[in-house]
Amino acid sequence: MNRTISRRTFLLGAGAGALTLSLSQLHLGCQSPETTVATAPETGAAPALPEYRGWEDLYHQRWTWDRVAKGTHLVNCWYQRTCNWNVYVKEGLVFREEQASTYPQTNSSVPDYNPRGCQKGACYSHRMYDPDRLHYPLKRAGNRGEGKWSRVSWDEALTDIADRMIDTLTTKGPGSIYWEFGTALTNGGHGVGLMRSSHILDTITLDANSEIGDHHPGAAVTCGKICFASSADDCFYSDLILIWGGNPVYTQIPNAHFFNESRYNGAQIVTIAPDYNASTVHADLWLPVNVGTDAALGLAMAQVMVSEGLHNEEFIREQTDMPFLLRRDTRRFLRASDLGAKGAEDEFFVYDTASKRVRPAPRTTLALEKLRPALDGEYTVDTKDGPVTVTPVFTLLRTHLEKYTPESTAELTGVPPKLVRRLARQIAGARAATILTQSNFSKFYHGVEMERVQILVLALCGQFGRKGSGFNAFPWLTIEASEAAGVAPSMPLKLAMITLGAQAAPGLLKSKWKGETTEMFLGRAAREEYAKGGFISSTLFAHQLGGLSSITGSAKQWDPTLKRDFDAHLREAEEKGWQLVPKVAPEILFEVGGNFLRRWRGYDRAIDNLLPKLPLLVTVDWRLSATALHSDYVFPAAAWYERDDITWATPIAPFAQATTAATEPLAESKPDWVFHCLLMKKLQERARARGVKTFTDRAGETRRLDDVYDRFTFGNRYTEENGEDFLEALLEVNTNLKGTTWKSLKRDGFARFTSLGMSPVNIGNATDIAPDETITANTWHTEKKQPWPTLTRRMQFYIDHDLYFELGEELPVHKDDPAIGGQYPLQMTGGHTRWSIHASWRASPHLLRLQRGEPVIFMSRQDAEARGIEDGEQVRAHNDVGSFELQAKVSPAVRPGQVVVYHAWEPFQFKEWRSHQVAIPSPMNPIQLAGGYGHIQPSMIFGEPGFNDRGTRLEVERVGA
Amino acid sequence: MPQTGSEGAQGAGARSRLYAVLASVFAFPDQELHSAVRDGALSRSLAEVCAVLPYDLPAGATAGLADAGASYADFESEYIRLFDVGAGGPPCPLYGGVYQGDRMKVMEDATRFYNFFELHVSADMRELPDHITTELEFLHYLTFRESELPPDGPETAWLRRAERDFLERHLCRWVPKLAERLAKQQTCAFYPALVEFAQAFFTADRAYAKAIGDG
Repeated sequence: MNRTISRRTFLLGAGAGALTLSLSQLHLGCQSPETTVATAPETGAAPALPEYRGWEDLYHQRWTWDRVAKGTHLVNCWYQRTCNWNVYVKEGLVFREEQASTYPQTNSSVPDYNPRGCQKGACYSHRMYDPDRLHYPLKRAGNRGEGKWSRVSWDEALTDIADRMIDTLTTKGPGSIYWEFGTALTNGGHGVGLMRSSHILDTITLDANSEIGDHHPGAAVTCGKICFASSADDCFYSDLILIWGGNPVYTQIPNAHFFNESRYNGAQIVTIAPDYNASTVHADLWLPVNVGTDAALGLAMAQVMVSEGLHNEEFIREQTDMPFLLRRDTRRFLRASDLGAKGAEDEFFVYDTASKRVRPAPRTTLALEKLRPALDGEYTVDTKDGPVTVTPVFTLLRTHLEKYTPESTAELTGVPPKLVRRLARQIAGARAATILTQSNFSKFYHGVEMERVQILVLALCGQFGRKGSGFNAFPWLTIEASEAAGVAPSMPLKLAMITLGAQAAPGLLKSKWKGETTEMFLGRAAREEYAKGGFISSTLFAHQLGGLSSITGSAKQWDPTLKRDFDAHLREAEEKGWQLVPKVAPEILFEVGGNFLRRWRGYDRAIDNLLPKLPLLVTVDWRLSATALHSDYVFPAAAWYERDDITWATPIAPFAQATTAATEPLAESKPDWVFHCLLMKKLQERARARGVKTFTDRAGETRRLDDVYDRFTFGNRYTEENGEDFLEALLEVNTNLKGTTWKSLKRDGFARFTSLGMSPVNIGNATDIAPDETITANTWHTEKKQPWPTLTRRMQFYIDHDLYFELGEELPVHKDDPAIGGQYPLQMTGGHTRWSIHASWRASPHLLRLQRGEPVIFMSRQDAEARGIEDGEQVRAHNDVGSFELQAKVSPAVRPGQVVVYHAWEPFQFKEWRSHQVAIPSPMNPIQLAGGYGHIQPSMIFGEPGFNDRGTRLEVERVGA
Repeated sequence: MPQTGSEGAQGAGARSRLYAVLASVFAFPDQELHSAVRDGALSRSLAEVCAVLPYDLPAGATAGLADAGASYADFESEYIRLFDVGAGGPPCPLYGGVYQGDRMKVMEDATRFYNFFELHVSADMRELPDHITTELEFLHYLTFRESELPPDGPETAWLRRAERDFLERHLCRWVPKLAERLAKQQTCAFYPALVEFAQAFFTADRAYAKAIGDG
């Protein structure tokens, strides 16, 4: 689009000349219902004028439209994602959307999914035409963040960027080019663009998951995976639903009805949360727990279960490491390597009460057959070190739990002992109990322990694998082919997939021969791929290279139990190969779908320390985010109703979802697939023009640079011109959406997954998907007796890793939340907000008018009164790390001592552009650096240290006080 | 389209020309516009058109229209900052719906006006129907058609009523609010002056269209 009217010169110079009709924004003539192309009438043939009586004549045309398309929103709303919308198009514009409500009922005994959607999606058509929307590429014309821009063409911008990429690739190497994708990557379809660009160029993609705090470290340590969840309709079979670490009425709006409907089927809902939140309102029981004491509460429940004999012995014998023998002398598992020189490090033992002998635990199955492993007792084993005393993990756990009685933990947790006992007995006695948690505990400094304890509570009672039971960790279910397509060779997609399969086949066969499950094989393959360094921890990047080390490495400053600085731990982790630590300073950073200068806790340090040293920052976004604001180039992205794509999904709502190009992209905006195509095309063009044929990759190998577009587009098969063909090809080779084509997906808007497919993330769900059954996670373990993907091949609650010993966390424990931020009386928590998905709707006038219209801090009436703060007043919150100002919202729902700032306000919505994130030091907990231990190793999306924010200490005072 | 030169249609022709010129000047600036502002060509052109309008605009309406700052680069950056791009949105967007509550209703209303007269938003330009340039072009079109007609015919009355309604429901509703926002900005005089000039023109033209259309 060229918004400069071509006849401007003529118009300006023709004040007294002849009048000519000069239209550029409008066209005369008929408009096709399918397109916005208008035909001009013959010169001189002005259309007859209609009689215009008044605007009321026009109003009658209000409820008319040209067409209805299918749409959804590519933003990451995670637990509530996938919703099917009808998008109404008129005159080439989307004027409204409505929920399609066409999801099938899984079976007649459970509620259906209709309708899906939330108030954010319902006003997306407004958001896409918001003045926030970027229309054309921008080049920075002033200082970073100053807001001074010049307009450039796509070609001009891409040429400069491509030249600088070529310079960087050939001088500093591909390891100095980074991609940051945040939370808006589609992943299902055209999200392949980013992965493929990075793969072909051997550049680095930052793994934001742990930095966001969605890495579920407790699930990773206990289960060897984080991606498992059941479908929302599965909870209809539950008779006890614990909402513990989430607020689904805010954050799972389309799913919340399932929880409420379950109550009509006899389920009780219990919420465990410090505040009386919107989900608690609908609960049968609320356990008001003090901030950061959930592990103590869970351990107290475990103590009740074990001391009262409520635990499910059969389940824990089979599915967990509870019967595995530990050496009393070393506190480590008894391994085959202890018994003889040729013994394996990963073969473990139980004491079989049937044969009264120490026997190897089965490795290829969980089925115990005739084995009857002991859960208690002490036994003597002859090892190569001589006789040693061994005891099952459960014996140790029983003793360990004695210090967590309901009475001894009541003051800490704030939960009365009788409530703890009541809930423990309820969980143990439930037909099917489930914990609905979200990625909350990952965001605590000691979150790993909180989540381990949650899983322990359910595992002790065998609440896994039955319909309506289980722990829901990180939900993920996507089109498996999209993951492979990112790294597939340049050939027809079908052939490329066959080639990839053939390459993987020997490894898979070898793995099977060793008795591993496919889940184990894919998990290991993902870890091996991660070890190559193309996908790297965003957290460690921020610490090492992003300018945040003074706060992210400050754990010892706040945590009195640490004996070593974080950096000493990090050095150890690097030396021992536990973690991959980024070393190469970024020369070019692409922000393609995220907003790290809003998202990073302590983002102000990155602005001060990283940006001055970063030569080129490029952002693709549809609006001027905080990151775009500081960028050198900003490209306008197409809106979600202006592109064809497939989103990733979750088992909670197990539907692949399409969005379709209801209209052409506004102004000069383009889909991100097109961005990647054009960038690679320009890179190839400039490389050829400059005679730069190759570059050296991170492994020291020579790679072609002058054919990157050809390879990116699978030999010019799928380009910027035919993105739909790529989606069609993708679905053709995809195996977990049987019977679905792009044509059918585009028509219906969604398709139910038919299986997990060969995906390292999907497969964590470990369950079959039947068309008429709800999805229950982990039934492959509980029913098919397939081992868990951990070192012990069980749900593993005992970790005999040196670091876990050093930090006293070999068994799940409670540790007091350190005073992160300093000795201040208030603890700040947060959570995803009801009124936005990340920052995408934070500045939406529609959503802002449903709240206070500006950032607020929720605080209790008692804390407000003690500080002389009235509701609605401006307050200043501060600690040793930083300060920020915002409005106080005094609420009786908030616990005294707690303050809440909900998620994702943009810095520019605060005074001096300083959001609450500037006061969050987010010190990484060294325990999360552990690696080199079976399943405890970094991988894509987990196994890396995470950022945290929950419980940060603050003081709040009235501005001007 | 045929040209018009009849004396009786001179007023409508001047109005049409002014809408067209304003549409071009509110569009994204280029070097030519910057030069035209700085060397006074724009002011002169506007003054010439104003001289043949069928009514008078307030004295000094074109004041400030020559101050576009020293460089085109700064002029362009100011346009972007004021109207197109900013944290949380630009401070003074040129979209009418932003100032009137329900943006979609405003865009739909404008679109219905366009469609009624067989006009459609250009697929090539891909601008929105409530952008000031689109709205100005619509009035340019109506007044252009009016300039082709005898002043006392029924079709002229239809056009005048449409001009009146569109001004009342769109430009006259929101451009004053745009002016208020612009007045709070520290910027070169040109764009605030341009909006003031446009506001004066819309007010006068609405009164003119209303008087004759209702008559």
